Amino acid sequence: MNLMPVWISLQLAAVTVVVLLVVGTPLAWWLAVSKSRLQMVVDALVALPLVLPSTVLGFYMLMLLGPQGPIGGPWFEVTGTTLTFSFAGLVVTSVVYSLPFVVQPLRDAFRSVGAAPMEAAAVLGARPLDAFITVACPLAGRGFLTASVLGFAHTLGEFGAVLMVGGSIPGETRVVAIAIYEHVERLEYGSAHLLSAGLLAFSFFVLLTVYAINRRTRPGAGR
Amino acid sequence: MSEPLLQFDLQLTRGDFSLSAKGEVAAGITALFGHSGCGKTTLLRCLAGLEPQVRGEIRQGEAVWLSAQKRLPAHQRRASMVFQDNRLFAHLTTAQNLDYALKRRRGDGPSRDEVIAVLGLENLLERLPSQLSGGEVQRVALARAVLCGPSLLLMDEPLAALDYGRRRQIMPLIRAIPERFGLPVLYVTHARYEVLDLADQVMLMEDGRLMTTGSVAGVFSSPECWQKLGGLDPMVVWDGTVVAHDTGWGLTTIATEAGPLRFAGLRPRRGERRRVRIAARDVVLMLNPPPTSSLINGLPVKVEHFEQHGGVTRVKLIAGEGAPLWAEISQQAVAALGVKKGQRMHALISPQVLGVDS
Repeated sequence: MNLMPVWISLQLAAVTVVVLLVVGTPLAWWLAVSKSRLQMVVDALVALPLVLPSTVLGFYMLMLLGPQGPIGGPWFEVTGTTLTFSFAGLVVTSVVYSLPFVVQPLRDAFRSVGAAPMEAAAVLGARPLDAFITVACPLAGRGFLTASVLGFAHTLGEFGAVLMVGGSIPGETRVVAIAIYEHVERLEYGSAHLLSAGLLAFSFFVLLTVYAINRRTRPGAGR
Repeated sequence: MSEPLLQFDLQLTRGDFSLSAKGEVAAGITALFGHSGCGKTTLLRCLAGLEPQVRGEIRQGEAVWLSAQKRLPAHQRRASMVFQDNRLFAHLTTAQNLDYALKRRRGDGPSRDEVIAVLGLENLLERLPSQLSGGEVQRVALARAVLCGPSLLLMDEPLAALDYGRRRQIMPLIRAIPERFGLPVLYVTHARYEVLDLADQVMLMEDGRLMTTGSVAGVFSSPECWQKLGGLDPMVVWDGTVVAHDTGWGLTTIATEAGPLRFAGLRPRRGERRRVRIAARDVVLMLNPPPTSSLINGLPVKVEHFEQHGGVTRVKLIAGEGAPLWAEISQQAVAALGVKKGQRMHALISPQVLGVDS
C-alpha cells in the first residue's frame, strides 16, 4: 500500500500548525485583551469554519486562490505556479479552516492569564513585547499545547475543502482523508480500513495525551 | 543615596468614582490610609503607570513621569510595586523571578546577594511560587521589587493576606527598606497599627481625595484626625529616641518631646528611633506629685482646656517640655480635682511603645 498520503497529511498538518501559531498567537492575544467592538466581529469570523460546511469554505478558497483570484492571481505572477491543486494552496486552505481550533484555545488561555502578570512585568521594567514573550506566553503554555494538538488533528481530519482546493495529486495534494475516499470508491476495503484505523488510533492517542497533560498540570502552574 | 521627592497632582474619573490627589512622597515610609474603595490602590496604580486614563503631573526631581505633554509607560518609570496578590511569575523559580527584575533594572540598585541576605531567601531560591508559604511569597515579591532598581517603591497592602504572626515577621523587613536601600516607600493600608508601627508620614484618603498629610505622630495626635482615622480613641503619639539602657533594672530610657520616659522589657539599640503612644484613658491626673506606684512614668502637666464629650471630660494638657497630652476623666473627678484652665497637676501615664524590633 502507498503510504505517501500519510506523509503528505503529516507535512500539511505540521506546516499548518506552525503557520497558525505564528499568525494565531497575536490574534488570540488581541481577542483576549481587546475591549473594542471589533473584537466581537473578529471572534465571530474566527469561529465561522466551525459551523460552515467545508464545501462552502472550499468553494470560496477556490475562488480566492484560483489563477484569476485576488490571492491566486498575484501568487501566479510572482511564483509562476498556481495555488490551487498545490501543496501551498492546501496549507493556505488548512490555515483558514483550522483557525478556530488554534485561536480559541489560545485566546481562552491568555484570558485566564489575565492582565495581572503583564502589569507585574511592566513595573519590573519589561517592555510590552518582552512581557508578552517572557510572561504571558509561558503562563499560557497549556493553551499552546491544546491549540497545537487540536490544530494538527483537525488538519489531518479535513476532507471537503482539501478536495475542492487541492484535488488528489499523488505526492502533492493527496492526503489520507482523500486516499481513504478513493480506496472506498475502488472497493479496496483493506487499504481503506488500514488508513482509517490508523487515523482513528492516532487521533485518539493525541487527544488522550492532551487531556492527560491538562489533568496533570495544576491550573496556574502553566507548564 | 537617597531619591528626590516625588510630587504628584492627579485626576482620574471612572464611572461615578473620581480621584483628585495632590501630594508628595518624601524619604522614609509614607502610609496611604483610608477605607476600602476610597481610591488608595488606584492612586498607587496611577503613580506606577498602570492607569492610562489619568491626567495631571508626576515628577521626581528632574524626571517627569507624567505631564500634559508626556506620559512615560510603566516600564520606563522607576516605580516598582508590590501587589496585594504578590504576582510572582508562577512559571519561574524564586531565583528566576529575582533575575527577571535584575535583567530589566532601570537604575542603580542593591546587589542580588545583599537583597537575598536581607530578606532571608537563601533556602527558597530553587522553589516555584506554588511551593512557598504566604509570608515567603511576599518576601520574594519584596526582593524582586527592590532588585529592579526603582527610585520609588509602591506597596499595596502587602500584609493583608497574611496572618498576624507572619505580619510581625515581615514588618521589620519593610521598616528597614528606606534606610537600607535608600528608597522612599508609599505603603497602602487600611490597618491603623501598620501606620503606627511602620510609617514616618501618613496621607489620609477619603472618596478619592487626600484629606490630610503629615507626620504620623502629628496626625495621630490631632483631634481633627481621630474621626478620619476610623473613630480613634483620643491619644497622642510621640516620636522618641533611645538614650539609655539600665541593664540592672532592665529599664530603657526613651527621650520624647515631653521628656524622658522609661520602659521595661525592651531590647533597644542606643540611638534607635522608637514611637510611643499614650491613650487618653491611660493618663491618671493627680494634684500632688504621685506617691510610689507601679507606674514609673510621671510628668508635670498644665491644663490647657477641657470639655465634656459624651459623659466623660477630655482634658487637654501640656506635658513636660511642651508636648500636648490628653486625659479622659469622669465629671466626678473634674469636680474632685477642681480642674481649671492653667492649673498645674501631675500625670501618671502608661505609654505603649510602638514599632517593630529590627
